[in-house]
Amino acid sequence: MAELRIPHGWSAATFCFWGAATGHWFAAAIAAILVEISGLIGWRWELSARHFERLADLTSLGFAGLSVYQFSEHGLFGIYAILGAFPLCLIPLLIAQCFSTQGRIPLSAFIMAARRAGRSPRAPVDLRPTCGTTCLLAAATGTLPAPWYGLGVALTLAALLLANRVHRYAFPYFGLLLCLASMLALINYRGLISAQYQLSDLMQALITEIGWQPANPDSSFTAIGMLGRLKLSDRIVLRVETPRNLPLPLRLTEARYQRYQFGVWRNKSKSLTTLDPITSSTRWVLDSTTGLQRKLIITAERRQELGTLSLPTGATLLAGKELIEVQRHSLGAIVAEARPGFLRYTVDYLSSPKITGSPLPEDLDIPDEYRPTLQQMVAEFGANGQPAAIAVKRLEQFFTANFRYSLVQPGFYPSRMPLLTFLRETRHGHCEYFASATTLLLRTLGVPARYVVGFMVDEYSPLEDAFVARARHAHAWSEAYIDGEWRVVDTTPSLWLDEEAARASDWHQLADLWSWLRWQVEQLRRAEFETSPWLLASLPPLIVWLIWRLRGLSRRAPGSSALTSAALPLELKRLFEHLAKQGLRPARGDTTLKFLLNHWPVIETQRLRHVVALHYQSRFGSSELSASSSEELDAEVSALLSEQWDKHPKGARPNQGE
Amino acid sequence: MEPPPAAPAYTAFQRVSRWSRWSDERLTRLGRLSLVLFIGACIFTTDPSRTSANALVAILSAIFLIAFLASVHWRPRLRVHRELPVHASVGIPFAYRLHISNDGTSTEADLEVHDRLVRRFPSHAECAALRPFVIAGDNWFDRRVGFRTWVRIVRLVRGGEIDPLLVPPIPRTGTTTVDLSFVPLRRGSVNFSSVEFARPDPFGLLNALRRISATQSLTVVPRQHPMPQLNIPDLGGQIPVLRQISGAAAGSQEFHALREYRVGDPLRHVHWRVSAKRGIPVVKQFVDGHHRTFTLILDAYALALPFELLIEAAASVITATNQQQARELNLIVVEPAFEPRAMLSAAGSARHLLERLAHLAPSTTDVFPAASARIMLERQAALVFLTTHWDPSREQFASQIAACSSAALTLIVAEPEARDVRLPTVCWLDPADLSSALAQVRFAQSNFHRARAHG
Repeated sequence: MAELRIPHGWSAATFCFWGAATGHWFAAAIAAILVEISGLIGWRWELSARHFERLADLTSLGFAGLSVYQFSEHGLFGIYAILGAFPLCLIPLLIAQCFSTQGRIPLSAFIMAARRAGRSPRAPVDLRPTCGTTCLLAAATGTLPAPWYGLGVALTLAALLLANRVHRYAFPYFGLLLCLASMLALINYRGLISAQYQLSDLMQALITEIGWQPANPDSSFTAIGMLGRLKLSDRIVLRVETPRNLPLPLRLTEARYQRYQFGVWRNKSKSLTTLDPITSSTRWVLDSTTGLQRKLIITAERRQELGTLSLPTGATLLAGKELIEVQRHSLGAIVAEARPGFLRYTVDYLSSPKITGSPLPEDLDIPDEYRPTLQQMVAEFGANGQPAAIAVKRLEQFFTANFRYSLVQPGFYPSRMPLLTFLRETRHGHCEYFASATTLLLRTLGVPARYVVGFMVDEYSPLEDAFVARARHAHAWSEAYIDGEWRVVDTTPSLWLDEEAARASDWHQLADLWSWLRWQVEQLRRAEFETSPWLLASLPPLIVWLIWRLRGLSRRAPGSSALTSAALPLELKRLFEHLAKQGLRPARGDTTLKFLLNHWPVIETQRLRHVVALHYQSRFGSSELSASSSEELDAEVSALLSEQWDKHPKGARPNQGE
Repeated sequence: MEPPPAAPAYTAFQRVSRWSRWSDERLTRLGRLSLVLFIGACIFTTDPSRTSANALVAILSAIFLIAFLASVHWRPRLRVHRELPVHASVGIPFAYRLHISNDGTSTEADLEVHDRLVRRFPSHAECAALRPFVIAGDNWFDRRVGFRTWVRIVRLVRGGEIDPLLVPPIPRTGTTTVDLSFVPLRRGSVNFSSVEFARPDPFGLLNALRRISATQSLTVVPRQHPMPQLNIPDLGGQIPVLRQISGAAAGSQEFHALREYRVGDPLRHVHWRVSAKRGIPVVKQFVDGHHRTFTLILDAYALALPFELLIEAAASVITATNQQQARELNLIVVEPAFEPRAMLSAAGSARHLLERLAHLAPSTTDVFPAASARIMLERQAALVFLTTHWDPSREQFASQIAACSSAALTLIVAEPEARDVRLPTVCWLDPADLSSALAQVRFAQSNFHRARAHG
């Protein structure tokens, strides 16, 4: 078979390309210079097979060490770092080959059996093509934007093909085929990206539908970096029963994390402390702080025995007949062991909670590759040198003014760090982007901060007769240590709940029915209410009645609602009172936006959304509305009210959802 | 020896072998490198947010597609003719010629020719039987998995491997001749199936293939080890009856046959007229007027590996026999189908005997005690008995042949047994070093009635 021809300078070009992409400039430059110089000077080493074998063993040890280090630092994603640095392990062998008298490497350097046999079964190898192609592949993990990477690869491969072209074919014909291949490559690339989007959507849907699990207290895989639209499931994962009116939305915490790398938040410390139950009971004291307390009954569905519990901030007492063992993570996550399936537990919590614990050094940890950009951003919104409370406020204003919520991400990340792309360029993302960026920016300001995951409970389900948290209600936010206490810093635009609800599947009602039925069967199985054969016999007509009831829900006049005008600020109170005069009152479970959208003219939808956004920011944000925003809210409400109801007939309004 | 891997492993080996063969045929060196790069890029492109490997996948897939389309249509009009020798020997490289004619309308260039042997994968049972014939791997992977052993067995079953060769450009309506070499790995028939031509695409990644059927068979005779020449003693006046029948005087030589010239033959024996007709030098072969026969008796009852060594010893003995002295070379094979008639000799009889040995198979039934009684041992000039077993019946036979021949030799291919061997004509050939053992074997020349063997 014909020997492979390597054109002059090709090896050096691939090394430079790899160095430019991955940042290994020094090694790439040394290798490129030495490889090309070897062709110009006649000086050579007398290297035997034994020398090559020892060198190969040394580089193998280096590769093993590199692998161990990268996997321990980055977990499974260390494979990319290993690939990026792999040419480093080949450079010594290549240089030895270039400066050896044989000009080739005996195969016994790579095959142990050949060493024992004292001979190589085949001809010695030329490492240059292998090294070059490895550099091309390793460069893919670098920070070059995809178009530049593609161009570099295309030129490098074209040079290799040109050097090995079959001379029977005329050069113009060869050039024409290369052009055709380039055009086809562009089409392939677009098609591949599109296919990857589709596959990513499908995998996300499958994972959230089938593989949903409680948070892992040791690590949290974010969707940062996922391309296309983030698809979250409507599946009900939590049911929250509360006997009294619940201030919404309710924030349930699962776990906290400290270290960020490659889109994954982790905790270095994995220590769990077993909590002892109260004697002869299945109750555990989580916090002995006293104060006005509320009670929640939460039902979660779990597939594994061990998992975190979603708990409100300030939880003091946990009770549950099915709980076998309860452990507390060093950062506060509660991990419980229970039988897989539905888990029902009661939690008492303080109505004015405080998050306990002192900050740790890891709460100021910033990945090195993000540091320059974060410092630049901090300077941009002028929080440097400010006290923590003011810095946090500036940060929140910065996000509010310049960022928006979105579930869609662009086609590629030029810097391979999607979080930086979010901060510098796109400025839109979902809650994980906001929470991760907020945490890192707070740390840049010198404020200890943690990344927190959990749920936001905002939806009431008449069918369940409880508040429900769906998979799409999973949320991430930040906690910052300010003035001696941990405070929630949630910079995700407050409309995210409505954005998520607006994308609910058309089939979610059917799925909810199914979920409810399963829960009813589970309760039957637990014999938590009286069973009788007549109950089972009445199931079919019950199902029919339920379907009729669900259909009638949207047309029924609203009943009593958790929303009372007394709880609203003055501006919105005027809107509610206006509607109350029409005989329209919010139904149980209606949110502010839903009620207003259902009973206000369609043409005012955008203005209503803006008004409600300002209202949410005022009510749920960690800082009060600025004076200008308050004036704006007042003006908008007045403008809405000044529109005459008669000008815009109600008609049949489509159900806009939330 | 490690037990052979289970049957499912051989199914996997077959698949790997088929894929390996496909990649050898269809991919050039650059193509293989590009394919490996493509596979690596596919693996790392699963997460597009971490690498730009999807760009590499797109480029390589485009290049491969163009290369494939450019290589699909190739219909050369070629003819081949293979010139093989009469036979080859195991382990000895031999060269042969392949004549390639281009009947097309354009010059065919950048061709690589692959002369293909018949491909057949051995069954699991065959692999188990052939394992002793291949060198086992010296690492745990080869011993436990055994893929390298499998590859060697496949080559053994095929008969060998012929390296491909680059063909010079063949002008239209022209013919080119290339010399190929081949080292046979086993005796028997090596069957050629076809000649394959490969031409790379413009990018030099994929080969366009054209296969031309060219079936041919070559007999590969057993390996022959160097031995001292075995001189067959002259019976002289010991057979008066024969001398009377032939009418030949003692010591006279009479014309026996014609054969091809060998280096060292006296020029006065060259038959010039026949040489001119045949185109190659031919000499007259003379044998002693007296009856000089050489008979080889082969006991075919043996296990596979010792039997191969036995065959090698027999071939070595035949080759070492001074054929100028022997009027008849006979081979008697004691096997279940044994007939008490010797193979008749003819001109070039050594070649015929070697070809007979090339196709012999071992016997799993020991018929020697019964068959040996039916062998009519006439007064012979030289008798050589080869066996891998030693028992009273064989010992008795050895003494019989020692009594009725001028030069007798019994060669036992086995570990020497720790017992007295009363017969001086018996010689043990160590299977571990057959070559050295054969190098020390010789008939005794000085004693007419008894052969002294050195073993």
